[in-house]
Amino acid sequence: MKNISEINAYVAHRKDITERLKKTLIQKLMLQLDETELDNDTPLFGLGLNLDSIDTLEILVGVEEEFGISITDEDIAAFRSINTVVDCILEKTSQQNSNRVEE
Amino acid sequence: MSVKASELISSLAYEIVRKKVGLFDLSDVGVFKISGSHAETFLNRLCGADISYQKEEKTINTVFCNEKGEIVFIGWILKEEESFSLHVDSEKREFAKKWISQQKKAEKNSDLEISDLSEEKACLSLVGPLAQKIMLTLFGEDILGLPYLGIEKNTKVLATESLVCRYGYTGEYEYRLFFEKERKSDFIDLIESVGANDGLGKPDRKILDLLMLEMKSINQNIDLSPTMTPLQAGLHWMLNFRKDQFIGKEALVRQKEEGTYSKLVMLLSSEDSVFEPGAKIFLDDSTSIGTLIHPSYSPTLKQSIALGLIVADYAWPGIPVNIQDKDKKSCQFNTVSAPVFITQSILSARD
Repeated sequence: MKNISEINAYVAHRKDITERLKKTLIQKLMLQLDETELDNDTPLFGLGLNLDSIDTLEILVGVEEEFGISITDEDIAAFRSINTVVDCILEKTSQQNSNRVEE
Repeated sequence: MSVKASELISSLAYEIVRKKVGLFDLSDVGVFKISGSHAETFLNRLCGADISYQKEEKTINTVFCNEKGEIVFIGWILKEEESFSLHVDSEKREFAKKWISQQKKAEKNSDLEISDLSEEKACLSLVGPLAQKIMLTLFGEDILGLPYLGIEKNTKVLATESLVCRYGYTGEYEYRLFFEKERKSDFIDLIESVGANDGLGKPDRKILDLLMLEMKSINQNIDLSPTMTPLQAGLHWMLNFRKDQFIGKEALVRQKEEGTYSKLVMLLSSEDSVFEPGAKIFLDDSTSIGTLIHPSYSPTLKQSIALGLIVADYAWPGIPVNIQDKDKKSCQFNTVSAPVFITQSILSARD
């Protein structure tokens, strides 16, 4: 990203992905929260949201359904916070898009 | 020759806690007993969490705010049989004592009592990937099932009543032991003998500041300005907006709904430069978007690491920024997602 307009476009895209992810998490995990009550860097496990391994599966399924991507065992390491999951989604969707262009 | 940020870090202390285990004496923490028939109502009015459903085997880490929603301090509330304990960091001990005493004055017709037990209690903390192993030797297998913020009362060790709490602000196994102060040297001797073969060390506790920063665990003594709210600090999880009332709730609900507040964001740079807190953060040469709050250096990442307070529009990971001090020295950083890496303790817990 070189200029402010590129940065603004990136932020708008990231914001959209983040809001969709938050809605998915709240719905899948039946959290008694709204999206504005979830900080993007809050740890998903341990202190913070204190989720467990069953929740991980729910998140994984939810992310695959909502964003049309496939999550591998290696990708699970990225499931540390909402922001790190968004990083993973952005990388996966970018890879998918470049694969489509090549095809 | 200019000083490098990496040279200001004690790499030995860091290695002890990230690779083995560190023993820290935190006996200057604040410990207050709050009792009386209105103790729960009183604390619930003061803190952001809802303690109505608190179980005796769990501590609640929560935030205390003023009417403007600004953080006054962060503490831990433990439910006892007929009372509550409030634990606070040593740096906030006197302030918290004064503040809760002032709040008590607002309680009318109450049998509320606040006792300061800080001078009677010792607190030792074990932190590191091998902390659980040492705790297992000392306290037995029950320790394995202790969840984050879980509490266990114990009389097995040194035939002394102790309270074990599990924390996790550094990303490593992290336990705190509370017991009567007169047994402190006995506990230290015992822990040192048990941990001798596991490389247990007693590093300066300042190293914990860096370990917390790497996990973006908020350090109330460094990372918070006097006007910062829990939402700006990313401490949403310490609040319960479904609770009827707590001090600062109205202001925080307004801020939450507006959503335009600046936020603490993690920053990384491959350059190894020293910056002072207060340096300005720029999007380009002229657009100031924030202020540097807590700079340091991460030996794990081999990068400069920092927390910055950045305006809402750009408080997102993945943005290149420039940090510039008052002498116009500048350095390129990138905003990044936190936590920035997975610790050895978390990896071993997953195996």
